[in-house]
Amino acid sequence: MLLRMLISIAICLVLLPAGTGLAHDVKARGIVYVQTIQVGPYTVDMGFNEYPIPAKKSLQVFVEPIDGYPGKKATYRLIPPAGVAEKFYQRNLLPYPGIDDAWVLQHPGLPYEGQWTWEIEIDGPKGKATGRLPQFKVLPPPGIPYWTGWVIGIFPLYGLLWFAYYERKRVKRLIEQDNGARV
Amino acid sequence: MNEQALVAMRRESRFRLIGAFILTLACLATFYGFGWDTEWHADVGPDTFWTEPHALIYSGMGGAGFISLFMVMATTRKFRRKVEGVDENTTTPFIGGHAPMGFFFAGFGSLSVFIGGCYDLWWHEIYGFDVTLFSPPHFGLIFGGLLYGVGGAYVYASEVNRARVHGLKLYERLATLGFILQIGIPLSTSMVFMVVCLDEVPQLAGLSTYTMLGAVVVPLGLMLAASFIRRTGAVTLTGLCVLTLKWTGMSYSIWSVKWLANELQLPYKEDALFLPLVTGFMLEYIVVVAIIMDVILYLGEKFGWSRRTAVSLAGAVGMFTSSLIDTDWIRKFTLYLNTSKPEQTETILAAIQQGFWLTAAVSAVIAAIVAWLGWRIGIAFRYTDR
Repeated sequence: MLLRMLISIAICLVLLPAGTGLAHDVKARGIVYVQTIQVGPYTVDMGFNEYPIPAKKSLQVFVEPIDGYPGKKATYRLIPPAGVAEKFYQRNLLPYPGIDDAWVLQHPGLPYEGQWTWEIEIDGPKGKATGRLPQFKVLPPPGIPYWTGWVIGIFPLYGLLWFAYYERKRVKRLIEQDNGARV
Repeated sequence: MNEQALVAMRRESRFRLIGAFILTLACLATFYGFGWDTEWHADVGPDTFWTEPHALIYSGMGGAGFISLFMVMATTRKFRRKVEGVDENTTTPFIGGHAPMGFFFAGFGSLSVFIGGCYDLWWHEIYGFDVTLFSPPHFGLIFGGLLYGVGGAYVYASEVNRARVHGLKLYERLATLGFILQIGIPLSTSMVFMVVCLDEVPQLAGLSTYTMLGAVVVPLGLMLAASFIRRTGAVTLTGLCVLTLKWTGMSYSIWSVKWLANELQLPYKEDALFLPLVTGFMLEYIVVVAIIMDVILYLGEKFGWSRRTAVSLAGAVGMFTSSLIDTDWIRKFTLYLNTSKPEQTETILAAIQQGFWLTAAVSAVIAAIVAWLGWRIGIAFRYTDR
């Protein structure tokens, strides 16, 4: 009974923000900025949870064709700023459990700041078309420098190294005591 | 040792084995929870902190911390009250406490996980939701989990040694089985880093990092167990333990994701893989590798090879064979690359295909070195009885 209650509460918590219509749900979904773009014959709303986006920070964007996504297939392509050797990122846009009016795009943080090019391709009943999001500027990364993050993140390793040093001394002493009988 | 002292020793061993058993359960909860969580994120979501898989993971982590703290405090109290069987010869002193070293170590692992958890929370506030396994706090969390696994192995090893000295066969056998399980769990968990390789750095100069990291973690764990137990079949038993964890982990993740999705009435994502992303990618052939290693160690013993030669050869031949028989690698790489780097899948696969034999050779060399290191580390367990 308790489990059912807890699960029901969890369902409510999870599904409440996932109601209908991007335009109506801007607040519930935490969307702070909506950009409308034209992809050939398709008009698409893009709702950003953060805008402008800093580098290294994961992206969540609700992509909603005005006339719905059923019957359409879409991909997005993120092309790095000029001068960056890295190739582009290309992924499919897919529906998300519990959200039936928009594709949800979740992408790992973009590695570089600068002017990225964002292309969306839609293949649907009105044909195949590609559109661009103009002026998609990525800001410098937030927080501490990434290498500092790693120096902190691997802290259990420091404890392990100290323990290895302690164990080496301890075992060496014991081996000397019993002339290596257990080696 | 007089009868009264033997009774006291038996009582204390029982107490410690029960503590170690609870620690093992906590490690298993973390292990199965982790498998459930990764598949849940990949196939259903939604990506929030408040999920049932997280509850299982964190209850395992909390349980390990709680039992370690309890055992340290209870043993310290017994030590101060001069309870028979709890003295300088049966405990390790550390910052004012007196307890089995393994529980101190497991406690440190749990503390690391707790700090790692807080760090992870902060990290997500700065960098957003989870879409990558390989972040600094995640490394701390997984590594901390490995540490309390190894702490449990120390407790069991200590009880094996104590029981052996006093001729307590049942306790020795139980503790040996516990030791094998407690090596199997961190060994299985450390294979997560191999999966991270598939996702983040699948190849270095055309060499498969997945295979090479396997050549580090597998011989390290298996030879550590062999070195401590020193019986033919110990490596195979450890390999079987890992395989059992893999199979049960796979079945559990598939079942639990389906169950929770049904309960929450959430549909699967359109690109759901229906595949356990952690346990599904652990080496399938570990038992074959383990049997090869066992046979070579046996031959070394029989024909009087130097121990270093036998151990290194066992590691090298075992992992070289593993590289050759892991014919499923293209599917594993394709699955991950299609998710993380779809635009580079073909280039990376071609590079790894070209470096296949070189990868197998380099893995053999790495395994030879690491197997000996594992054996040396195993010796520390033979000298642990407090």
